[in-house]
Amino acid sequence: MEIIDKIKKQLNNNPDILVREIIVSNKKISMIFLKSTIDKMLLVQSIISPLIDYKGEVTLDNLKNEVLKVIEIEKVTKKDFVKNVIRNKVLLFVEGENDALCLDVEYFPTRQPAEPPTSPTIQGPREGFTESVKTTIALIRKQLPTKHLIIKNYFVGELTHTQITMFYLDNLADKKLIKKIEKKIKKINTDAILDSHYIINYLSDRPNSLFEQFGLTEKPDIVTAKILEGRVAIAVDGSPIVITIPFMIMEDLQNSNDYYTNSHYTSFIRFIRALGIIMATVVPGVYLSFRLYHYKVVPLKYILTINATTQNLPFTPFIEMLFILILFQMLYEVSLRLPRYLGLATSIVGALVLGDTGVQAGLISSPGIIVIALSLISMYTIPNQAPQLSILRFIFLMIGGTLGLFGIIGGMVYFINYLNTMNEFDTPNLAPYSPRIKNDLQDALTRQPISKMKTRPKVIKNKDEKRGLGGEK
Amino acid sequence: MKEQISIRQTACFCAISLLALKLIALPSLLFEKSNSSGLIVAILLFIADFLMLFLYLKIKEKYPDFSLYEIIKKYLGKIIAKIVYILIYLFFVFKLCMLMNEGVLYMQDVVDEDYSLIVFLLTYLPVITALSFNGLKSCARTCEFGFVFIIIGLIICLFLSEISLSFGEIGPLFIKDTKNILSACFDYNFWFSDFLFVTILADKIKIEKNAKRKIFSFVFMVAILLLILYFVYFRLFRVTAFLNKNAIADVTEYNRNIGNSGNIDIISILVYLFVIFLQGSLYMNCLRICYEKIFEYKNSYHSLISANIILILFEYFIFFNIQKITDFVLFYFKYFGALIWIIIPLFYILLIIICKEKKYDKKYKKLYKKI
Amino acid sequence: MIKNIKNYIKKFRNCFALSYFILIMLIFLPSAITMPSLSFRGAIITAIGIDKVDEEVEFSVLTLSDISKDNMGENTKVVCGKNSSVANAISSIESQIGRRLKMGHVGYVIISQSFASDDIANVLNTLTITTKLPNSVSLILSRDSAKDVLNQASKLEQSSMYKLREIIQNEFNVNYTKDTSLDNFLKGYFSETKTSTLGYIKLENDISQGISAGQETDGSSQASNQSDNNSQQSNSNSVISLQREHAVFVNGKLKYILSVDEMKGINWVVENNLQQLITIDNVNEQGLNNASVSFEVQQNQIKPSVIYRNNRPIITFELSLKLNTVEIMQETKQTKSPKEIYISDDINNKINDKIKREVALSLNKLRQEKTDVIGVYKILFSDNHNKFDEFLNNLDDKNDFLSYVKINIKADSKIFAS
Repeated sequence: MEIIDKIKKQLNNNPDILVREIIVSNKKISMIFLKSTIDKMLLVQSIISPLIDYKGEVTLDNLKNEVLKVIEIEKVTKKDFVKNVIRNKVLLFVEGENDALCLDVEYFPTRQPAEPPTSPTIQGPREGFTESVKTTIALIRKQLPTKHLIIKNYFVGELTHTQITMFYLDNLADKKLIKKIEKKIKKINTDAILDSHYIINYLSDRPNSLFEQFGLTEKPDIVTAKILEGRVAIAVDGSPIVITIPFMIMEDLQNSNDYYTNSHYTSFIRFIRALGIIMATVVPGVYLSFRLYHYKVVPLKYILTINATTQNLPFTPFIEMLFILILFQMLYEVSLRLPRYLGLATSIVGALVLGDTGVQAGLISSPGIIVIALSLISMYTIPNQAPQLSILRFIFLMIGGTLGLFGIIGGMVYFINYLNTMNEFDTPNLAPYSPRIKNDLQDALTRQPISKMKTRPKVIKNKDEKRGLGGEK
Repeated sequence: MKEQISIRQTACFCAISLLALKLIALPSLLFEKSNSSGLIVAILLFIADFLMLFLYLKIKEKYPDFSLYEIIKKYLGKIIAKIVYILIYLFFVFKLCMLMNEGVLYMQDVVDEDYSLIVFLLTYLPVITALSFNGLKSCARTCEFGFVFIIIGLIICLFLSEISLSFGEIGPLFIKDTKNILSACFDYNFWFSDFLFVTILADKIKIEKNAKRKIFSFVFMVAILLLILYFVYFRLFRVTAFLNKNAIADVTEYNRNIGNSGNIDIISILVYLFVIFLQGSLYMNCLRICYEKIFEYKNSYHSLISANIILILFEYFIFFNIQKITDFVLFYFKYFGALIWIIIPLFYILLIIICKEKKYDKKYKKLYKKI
Repeated sequence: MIKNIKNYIKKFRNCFALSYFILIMLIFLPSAITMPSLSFRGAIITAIGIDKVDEEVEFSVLTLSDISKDNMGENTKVVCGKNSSVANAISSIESQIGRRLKMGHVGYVIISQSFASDDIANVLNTLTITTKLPNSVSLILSRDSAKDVLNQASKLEQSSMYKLREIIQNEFNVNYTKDTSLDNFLKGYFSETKTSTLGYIKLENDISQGISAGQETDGSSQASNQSDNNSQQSNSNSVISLQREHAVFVNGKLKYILSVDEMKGINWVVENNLQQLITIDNVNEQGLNNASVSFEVQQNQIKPSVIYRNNRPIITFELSLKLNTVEIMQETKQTKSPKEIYISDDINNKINDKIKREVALSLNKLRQEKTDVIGVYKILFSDNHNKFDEFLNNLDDKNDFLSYVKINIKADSKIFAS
């Protein structure tokens, strides 16, 4: 067939393009598809064998209505031929007809939903999204069996044609927000979208900013909870990470575990996490500034201890701290990249050999190691913000070493202000504390029992504020 | 879009501006001059300040979309409005200089003996400029965010001081004659009159229910904390007030050996440093707004750069040491207080009395559109 | 060209914070990165001693010297500088050790008696203002050379866990009845009576009383009822002796020393948390026979009240004491546990009498020296300053007002129920 040759040519005669021809009732039926992305069993069972058994008149309509045992069948015209082939469909041509049937027997190797490594739970659902957007849709559908759930698909990326799926509840989510997001997605003009993080930069008003105002999660229960508060979720095919919009920094202090334990414990642990942010960012800088400039503020006994361990060091305090910080950051990077079976080796080399021997040899001091290690550990109370916190730690270390405590306070004020200027999708980043929204304090640093949280967060523009009415006023 | 701040944010601004200049040098000066009547002087000035605030808020209710500039322009003409704004600009420059001087002195006394003015200026000015450049709204939010920590810190400081000890031997609070007290009030008015910024930002404050109640509850809370601090300070230092120039640090340092752990004044240091940053950003915003009104020209770069240059000139070349600016303020600037304490309030009271309500409102709204 | 500059300015504006950060780093980083830590740039001083030798000021400081890891004690060194003024003496010390003196952590200042014959307030003022000595530092008068005391303190700190700093600033005020800080001294100096008191320290050759930096301690150290820390000394001839004596300063000059007995009376009417003992003799009740019973004062609430009679003030101190029996001594065999003693009217009267006697002894001394150590002026002034002014104006010698004030004591004792 001429058209099949044409399609093959348009697809550069790649070796995984397969053309299968069958003669049914003296008419030639040709199928073209990418053999790597279809379910061969399904193809044989639902397309080829019914066709071979068929004895009637062969037209596209007849085949569609009477023969083919495929769920998704569509008649497509000439202009969509190539597009459908590269989207992993089977195109079926009948001799003498100009159109073709587009059949969905797509199959990719995917993994099963499993507990996501980034957010394990102790007592709670262990499901996680997978790279397939179809699984994502299925998992969200399972959690939200309501007629109000809206799912919209977009295909973005000139070369990848990645499927982007948007979820929201039409009776809760703000129309303006949806329009804004849709507009931004449609505006994306790029070759490839390989992961959710790719589209964050396109959705953001300030892509250059140090902080990002997007929620990222791998867990269906979190996404569902957020959709139920009037947020919009965006899934990208090929990524298990789902983006939720709008986002406040307070959400990173929350964890899905929080809702499956006692509310008092949750409040306590959230304070610890907030403390973790401060420890992770400013502690090395403050320590350095104390050692370089502000001996007065440190109690005498600590001066004695620090002096005792640092007096014979060959480095100045600044170089020492920089050295330890870079060393630890390097160890962290190594432990991420190294194959898992080598992990033990790095921890021995890193922690024992470098740390302990460094102190013993008098190259680095133990207070310095304690401070940096403390700061690194506390960073993982909020793993989502780890990259930002690492940069901030470095900045505050530099400021502490040059401008002292006053500089650190100045830096803190500046960064709080910086967070306050972030207002993406009209949602203040530090809400509900600045601006203070009394209603939303029920689930901020402290959490009320779930039965007492009767209203949805006011900071997200909702059509309906009260919970429990199913969105119907 | 017009940048607007909520009533709660205004209340935070009010509370922080009440704190900023009163934590360090003021108690020392008050008790040095008027001995035990210092507390009375402070209370009187607080009351006067509150009356001013009440007046400003009353006017805000009457002319919700007008700031001081528009009101003066409407009744007295553009030139007078500009002159008043130039004076107010100067007032804020002085307040900021005072704040910076106290900041440097505090850093040198409490944190680091070798702390230099240049390092201070290089840290302080860019931060408050950036805060002001990012707009009033985000600045107000930052204040709102920091306010809780500041109040908690202040309360901890007070608890760490000797607040729990007996209140028996305080002595009479009212010894010197009234004339002395009034003259002290007159001398130290510069350290008060904190709420002037409300009139300048009046058009940017959202109209909400219970505005006065909200603002006053914040302000009263801070005023009470300050009075407790003064009381503790007075109890501790009485006759040696002139030696203890850093009230909040001295009060907490007094008990420096709690549990044998050495200094515990880090909390007071954090509280004070946060306060001066937030307060500085508010003054910087006021300077920016005054500049824009005076030159009828909106450009944050120009207004902020000019404000920075003026501040550096004043700070570095004129008031190099704290005593100089304190003396200057005590000798000359107190007369400037007349503008804030007498002329503007009188003008406002006249407005309230003469202009009857409501029927003017529509007119003003039309007028506002023209402006 | 101008367009280029404009572009650069625009770029600078867009990332102002980052550019400024880089600029600051360019200015400060080179010096910061090569800067040794502050404790190596400056000498951290933990104590100061001021002496007068040959009409010159001898300024000694106890500095932290290098510390080995094995010895967790503080290794301190005494460094001395002598010059005509304190500032010069300090600078001579600085040139000796090549570091700036950092006074932020000074725990105590010792002033020798020879130095205290002049007005010491001036020197102390200079110290607080120029060297930023904290006002809360303890200030103590020493009978002997301050340098020697520091030397002994240094030895003590190296060899034991007892640090003079901690002993003086003990939170129970075991050693000093009145807060012996610089701030308190200045408060007294600037008050109306110009009287202030300081703790008093001695170096004793009598090794039975005091704390020494001896290497060996034999367990049989003698207990003395005044010093709380006793240890024998072996190689040094003197020990630091902290009795409860006090030096009284008027106008910044040393006037006299209050002895231990005289201080006892003052302690009853001055608010403090002192652990004080009171012993009553001739107790013949509750199954005791001519016994002497010792009580420890757990709490002493003092309530002064003032009345004026014939324009003369009368102060009544109402003391409510909470006591604990600690010791019973009698000739016959003891059959009673100290815990079973209760305060009868008789014992209460005896305690009252004893306190009255002790206070009278102290008051005599105070009246004789015309110094108001117990704060009578403050009490009368707070009570009614108009009447008090009138009373003062009627006196020939205002400094001697204490002689015309009648002081009554009324003690009410109870056993402390813990």
